[in-house]
Amino acid sequence: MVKKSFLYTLCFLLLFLIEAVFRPITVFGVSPLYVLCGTVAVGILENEKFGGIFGLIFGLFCDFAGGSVFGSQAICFMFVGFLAGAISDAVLSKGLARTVIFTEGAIIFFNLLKALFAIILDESDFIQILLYILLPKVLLTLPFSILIYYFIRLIRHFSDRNRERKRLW
Amino acid sequence: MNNFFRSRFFIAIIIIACFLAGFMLNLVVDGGVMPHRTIIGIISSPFTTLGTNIKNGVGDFFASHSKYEELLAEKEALEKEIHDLKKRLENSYTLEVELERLRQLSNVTSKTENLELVEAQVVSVSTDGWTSTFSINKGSLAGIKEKDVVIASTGLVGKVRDVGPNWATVVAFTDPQIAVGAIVTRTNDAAMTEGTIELKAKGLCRLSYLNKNSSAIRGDLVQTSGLGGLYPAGILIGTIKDINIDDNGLTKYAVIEPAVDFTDLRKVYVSINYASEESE
Repeated sequence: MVKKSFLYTLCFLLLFLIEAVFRPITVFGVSPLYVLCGTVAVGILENEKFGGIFGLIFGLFCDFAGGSVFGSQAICFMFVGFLAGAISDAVLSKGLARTVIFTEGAIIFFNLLKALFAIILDESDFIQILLYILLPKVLLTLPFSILIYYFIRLIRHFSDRNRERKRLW
Repeated sequence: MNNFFRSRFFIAIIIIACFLAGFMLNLVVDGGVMPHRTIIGIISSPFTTLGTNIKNGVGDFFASHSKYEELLAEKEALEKEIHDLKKRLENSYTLEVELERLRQLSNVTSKTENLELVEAQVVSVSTDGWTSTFSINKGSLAGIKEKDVVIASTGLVGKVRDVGPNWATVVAFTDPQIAVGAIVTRTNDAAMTEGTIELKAKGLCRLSYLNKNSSAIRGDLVQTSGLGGLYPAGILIGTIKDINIDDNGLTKYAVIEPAVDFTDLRKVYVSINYASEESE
């Protein structure tokens, strides 16, 4: 368990650095939300505790990198990671489809919420928000939610297989 | 489903969310302190600094190899430019002496002359897509305070928003929340730069409230006016890219291309001794 958590931590650190420091892909100043993809994948592949804890910690890291209000991404990621793991299999079976739906759903929901505040408080234009923030985020994150899901699954398999080997020895 | 809502972990999540929301509310309403932010800053700073160093190192290595021909041509062009600049420098020396004499006569001093600057490295960039903010690797230990002015070698960058011991968050002047008093250098027209979501996405910003009769044209330089006292006068903001009449027909607006390339911003300088009128 400790080894697996350590591996996930390293993986999340890498995702955070790609998102906040390296930023290899940027369109209109928006880059894919790699950490959110990882949070959802961990929540689904492990359980709600993993999703919630990693979402909270690395959401805070993302908040620290910059953003509107410190803590907003942490709350968002924590709830999404938690719900991704906690929701019953009867509602949505665990797997890639659930990862993509949760990741994209979270991006749309939380950005629409922010858009609502921006429109009310700053009289921002919804079309501009849609074209320059929401759509790029949704479209850019989509392929990475699939890639990161498989990456996290690989780590999980690797860790579980090692544990099984040790147990057999 | 009942078990799900009654689980200890779910209750813990709700409590943490309430704490965070409370801190957020406190920050928004009172500008209060967030202790967990300082802790997160201290923890994540070494990773972001390391990541930035790796990124810059790898970037420089590949750039120096893949752009060899390009660099040679650039070197030649720069050598020519240096030659021209040397000539202009010789001429400007006479003008500088004249300017100093006139300054003494009129008792006016340049506000940017005596800025005490702290060099810092950009370590991470805002990930939410809504704001133009980034973190730097220097903080209160280096003398940086909130609202300190941040500049780069080419021009204005923005203002310090939050400070921790070894980090600070900077809001770029292209952010939709920021407005800067500006002046068109050639025509002396006063105006104000503002960020919009659309222009921020394109790496540009807007120069609003220009006089309808302003003769500013494309290519004119825009610099800080010093009005409002938040920014020292005379810092280059950018170049006018486009100019139009506002919908109200009473004023003009221009689109500015910032002098600073925010997509490749590595090193910034924080002015730690400029006391803005607001903070005074």
